[in-house]
Amino acid sequence: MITKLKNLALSFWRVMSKPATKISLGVLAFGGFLTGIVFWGGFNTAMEMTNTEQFCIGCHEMRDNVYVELQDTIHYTNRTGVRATCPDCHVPHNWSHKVARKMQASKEVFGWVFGTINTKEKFEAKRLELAQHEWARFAANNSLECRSCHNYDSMDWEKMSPAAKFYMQPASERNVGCIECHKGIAHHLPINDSGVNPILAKVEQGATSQTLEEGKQYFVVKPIAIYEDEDLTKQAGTLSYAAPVKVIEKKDDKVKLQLKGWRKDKGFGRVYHSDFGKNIRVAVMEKDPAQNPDLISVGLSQNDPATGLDWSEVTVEFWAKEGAFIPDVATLWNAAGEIYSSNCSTCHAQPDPAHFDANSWPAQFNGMVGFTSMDPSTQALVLTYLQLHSSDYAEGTH
Amino acid sequence: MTNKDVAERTEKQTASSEWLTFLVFTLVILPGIAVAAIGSYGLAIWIYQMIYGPPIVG
Repeated sequence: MITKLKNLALSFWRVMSKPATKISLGVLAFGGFLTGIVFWGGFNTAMEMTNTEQFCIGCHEMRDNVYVELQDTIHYTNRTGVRATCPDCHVPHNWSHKVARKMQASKEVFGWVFGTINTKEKFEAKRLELAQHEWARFAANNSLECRSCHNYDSMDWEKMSPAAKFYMQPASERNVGCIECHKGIAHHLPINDSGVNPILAKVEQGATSQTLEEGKQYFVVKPIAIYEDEDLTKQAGTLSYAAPVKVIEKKDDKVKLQLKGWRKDKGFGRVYHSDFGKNIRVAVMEKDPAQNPDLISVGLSQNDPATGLDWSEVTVEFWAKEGAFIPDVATLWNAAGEIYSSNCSTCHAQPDPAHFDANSWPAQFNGMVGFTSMDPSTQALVLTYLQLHSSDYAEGTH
Repeated sequence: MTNKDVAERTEKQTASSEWLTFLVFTLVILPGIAVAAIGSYGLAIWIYQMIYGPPIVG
C-alpha cells in the first residue's frame, strides 16, 4: 500500500517536474486561468452561502431562540423595510476578519455536534455567556458592524426626538459605541430568575463550590448572616460585600471566622468599617453582640481629625456557613467593575473610581444610582468596589 | 513490435499521464491547498486574537 502510494507520488512528480510535451503552453495557461476563476467564484459563493440567514437558522438552536426574538424587534420589521439579517451584525464585513470568524465557527459546529445548547434550558443557561462574548466583541471594535448602517455623521439632530437627542448627541461627540447603551436591542437580555444580577450570580455560583481551609483568608461574595454559636442559632450580625475574613476553625460545612475592622465609638458601635476613618462597611452587628466582650475585642481608640470622631479597631469572631467565600477578591471586583461600567456608561462617561475618595463616593453614588436598574444589593457591592478603589487606595493618584 | 509502435505507445502514455496530472493538480490539489491556506490564515488570526485580544477600533 505504502509503496504503491510512493510510486504514485513519484510518477506524479516526474510528470510535474518536466516541461509538458503533449499539452501546449496555451492550453495549460488557459486551463490554469479558467480553473482559478472557477475556484475563486466557487469559494466566494460558498462563503456567501454560509453568510445568509437561511444558513444560520438551518440549526434549530438559532431558529427557535434568537431568530424568534429578533422578529419582534425593529431590526426585523419597520416602516422602511430595510432589515438586518444575522450576519449583518454577527459576522465581520472585512474579508480577513470574516475568514477568522468562519474558522471560529468551528466552535459552533462542535457545539452543534455535541448538542451544547440543543434545548431551551441549555440555551438559557448559556445565554449570558454567549451574550457577553458578543458584547465584548462589539465593545472591542466599537460596534463596527452596527456602523455599517448607522452613522453618527448622518444623524440629523433636528429630526430626532428631544429625548433621543439628549443621549445621542453627547454620545456622538465621544464616539461611544452603540452596544454601550443598546444591549438587548435585537435579542432578549439575559434574565436571572433569582433576581440576582447575572454577573454576580456567576461569582456566587463559583463560591458555592469553594472549600475553606483553616488559617487562610477569604472574602465574602454576598451579604450573609453570621452567628455567635456554631449551631448557627443566634445571629450576631450580617457581613457586607467583600468583607475579608480569616478561617480559624472548621466543622463540617460551618466555619469559625475572624474579621478585623474599625468602628466609631459613638452609639452602639454596630457598624464595622474596613479602615480607620473610612466609611466602607464590612459588617453590621446586632445590638447585643456588638457589646459582647466574649465575641469582640476592642483596640485602642484613635481620633479622626477630619470628623472629630473616635474610632477603635475591633476584632470579632463568629460562625458562618461555607459556600459564600472566595480566596481571590479580584473576581468580585471584576464583576463589580463590569456592572459599574455597563450601568453608568449608559448615560455618561463613568468617572474613574479613583476620581473621588472613599468618603465622597457614597454621596456621589447615591445621587446617581436611581437612574440605573441596579438592585439594592448590587448597589451595595458597586459602592464598596468604588470606595476600595477610590483615591485613598489607588496607586499613583492624589 | 516495431520501434515505431513502441514510440507511439509511450507518446500516448505521456499525453494521458500529462492530462491526468494537470487535472488532478488544478482541480484537486491546488484548490485543496488554497482552502487550507485561507483556513490557516483565519485560524492564525483567531489564535492571535486569543493571545493579544480582539482588534481595538478607536
